[in-house]
Amino acid sequence: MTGKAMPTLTIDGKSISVKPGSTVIQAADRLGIFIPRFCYHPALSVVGSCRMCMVEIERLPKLQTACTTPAVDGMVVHTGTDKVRDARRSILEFLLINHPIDCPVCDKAGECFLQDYYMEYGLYTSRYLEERWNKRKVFVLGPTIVMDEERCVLCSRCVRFFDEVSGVKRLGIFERSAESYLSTYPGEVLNDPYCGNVVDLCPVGALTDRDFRFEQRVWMLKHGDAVCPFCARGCNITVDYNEKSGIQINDRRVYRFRPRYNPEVNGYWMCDTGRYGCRTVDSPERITEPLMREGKRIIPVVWETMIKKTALRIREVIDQDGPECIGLIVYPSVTCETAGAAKRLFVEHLGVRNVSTGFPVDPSAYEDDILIRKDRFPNRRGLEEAGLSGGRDAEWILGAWGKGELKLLYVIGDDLPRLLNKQKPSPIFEAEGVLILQKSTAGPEDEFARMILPSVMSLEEDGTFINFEGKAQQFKAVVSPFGESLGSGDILARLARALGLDTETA
Amino acid sequence: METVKKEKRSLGFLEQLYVGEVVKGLAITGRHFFRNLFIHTAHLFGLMKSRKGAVTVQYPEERRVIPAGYRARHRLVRREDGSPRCVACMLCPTICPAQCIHVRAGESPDPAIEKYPVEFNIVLDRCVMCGLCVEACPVDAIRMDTGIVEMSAYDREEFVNRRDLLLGMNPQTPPLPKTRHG
Repeated sequence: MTGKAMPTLTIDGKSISVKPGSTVIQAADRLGIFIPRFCYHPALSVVGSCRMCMVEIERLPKLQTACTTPAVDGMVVHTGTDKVRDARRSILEFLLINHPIDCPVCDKAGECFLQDYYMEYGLYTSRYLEERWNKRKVFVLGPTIVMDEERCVLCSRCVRFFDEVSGVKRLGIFERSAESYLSTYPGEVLNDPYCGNVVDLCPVGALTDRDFRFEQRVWMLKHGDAVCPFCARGCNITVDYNEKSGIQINDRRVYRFRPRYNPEVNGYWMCDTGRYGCRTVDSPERITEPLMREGKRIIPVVWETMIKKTALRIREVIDQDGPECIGLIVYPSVTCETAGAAKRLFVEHLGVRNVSTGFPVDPSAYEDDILIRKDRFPNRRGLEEAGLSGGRDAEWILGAWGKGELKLLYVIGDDLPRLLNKQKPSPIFEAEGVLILQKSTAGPEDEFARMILPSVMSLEEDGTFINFEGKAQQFKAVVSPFGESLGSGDILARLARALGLDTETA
Repeated sequence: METVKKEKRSLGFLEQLYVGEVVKGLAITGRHFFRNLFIHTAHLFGLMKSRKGAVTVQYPEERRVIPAGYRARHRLVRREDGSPRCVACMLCPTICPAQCIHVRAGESPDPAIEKYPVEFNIVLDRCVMCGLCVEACPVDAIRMDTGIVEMSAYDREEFVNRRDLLLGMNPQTPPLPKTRHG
């Protein structure tokens, strides 16, 4: 065996050289050979407790756990022999002694490791004659997490997540051998901002998310890749959605956000704020059609009228008072593409100079070293790159607006922090002038608005976000636009056309 | 491959006139019509009961006996305490080829049951009566044994069978005889 050289080993007839110190399971993963596992997770420490990853290694008398065995030069590993399959079957038999086998009502069914492995290696006729132990069923561990102790396989992934990633020891495995069980330490509640990750980590249905619990069966969900729009980190996420046609009970389309592995940005995790932000996509407060104020009433209109009237208003103010009486606020919730379009239309073509990129970052907001950023907007850097920032600050614009110096105020994008936290006070938009809002979700400022143009949310359009580190991440639309809403860039292009501007440049 | 050429029989002169053939046809239908008219009228006066008229069932006064295992309108089965037996596992909407079943699950007060259907809709005008939902159900909560074959409504909304309606229906048709396989 050489010291620092890359050990070369053979797994199921394929050979690979790995970094010294790598384990057999890591080598197998790199080769694309899947070894069943419960407790092993690439981002957590190795405990070798589940014994599911047993493999046969030539010249070793017993089976070895692939997750704890270091790869050694010249090693020959077999992952599919009868001996290995027998071992896996026996492990599963032990795990299922007290398992309720309630897959039809279990939320994990369809993405459960235990179910998948049992389909492949299971012993289909039970040999167990004794009475099954009943354990705690619906046990609330925290505001978002519910545990079912009967389903737990004691892999300790969740325990290690809190110990190693989230940094606070909250969960533990108590008692010994057959009596051991998972629980929080006395008095502890799972209320971390990263709790939701343990549900993804849980290989079985022991930990379930109260937000997703009973909402939908996982096999009915389709998956789309997106970038989380709820803070400046821009975590990569998988969106689980189900856009059904026909009659259905709930109109919900987006059911769940899950983190998507990206070593450059978020690793394997995401925060709960982003995770439960999925509720905003199909929120009942979404605006479904263009709205216009006539006197005291707000009436829905068709897009053609909306665009025409909006353009007319803008043209009126420019002709009468000049572009210095127009204010523009672009919230950093919009994509770089929309920001660019807004700049071309308002700044370059209409000569608007009172441009702001929303309100400064709330210094009291929560931030940590793991993922969450103080800045709850996804694209502040993107707006800087697009050349929108550096003009006025939003406070100045609101001041001038309140005093009546600005005759027209055009606001693009959503106040995302307020969308997630309804208690957060909203800036005061009350004034005499014409307030035009281009956004996705209703808010308290709507009552002062003359026109509301419904635009899509970030999951519904293609675009790019630049996160706080300057990493540009492009994404594609996952679900179709809500109601009659249009892409923000599309609205601006239509507006430019109605204003008689060259649409090639605007 | 060998092809077999089929000789077309040419029509004779009388046949080409059609008149005779038409009369022949009318005679057959007419015979049946008057025979049935006579027998059914006789039945009305309680005569000739031994002779059967046409096979037509005099619906709606007369109804055919629905055979065992017939897939009629659905119903939801209750537990002994009256609560729905359904555990809202959503296997029936999963298997449903017409996508006509919609279930919304809620937390059951009994932790051993876990889920129960808060809403359970069967949209009958979409349903193709295939019975796969009955087969898929792991707890035998949905059955198609109500014996109701008439499904009509003035309104599409009336076709949406909601949970409590489904729970309120009673079995009518006899259960399938037990086979060797159970």
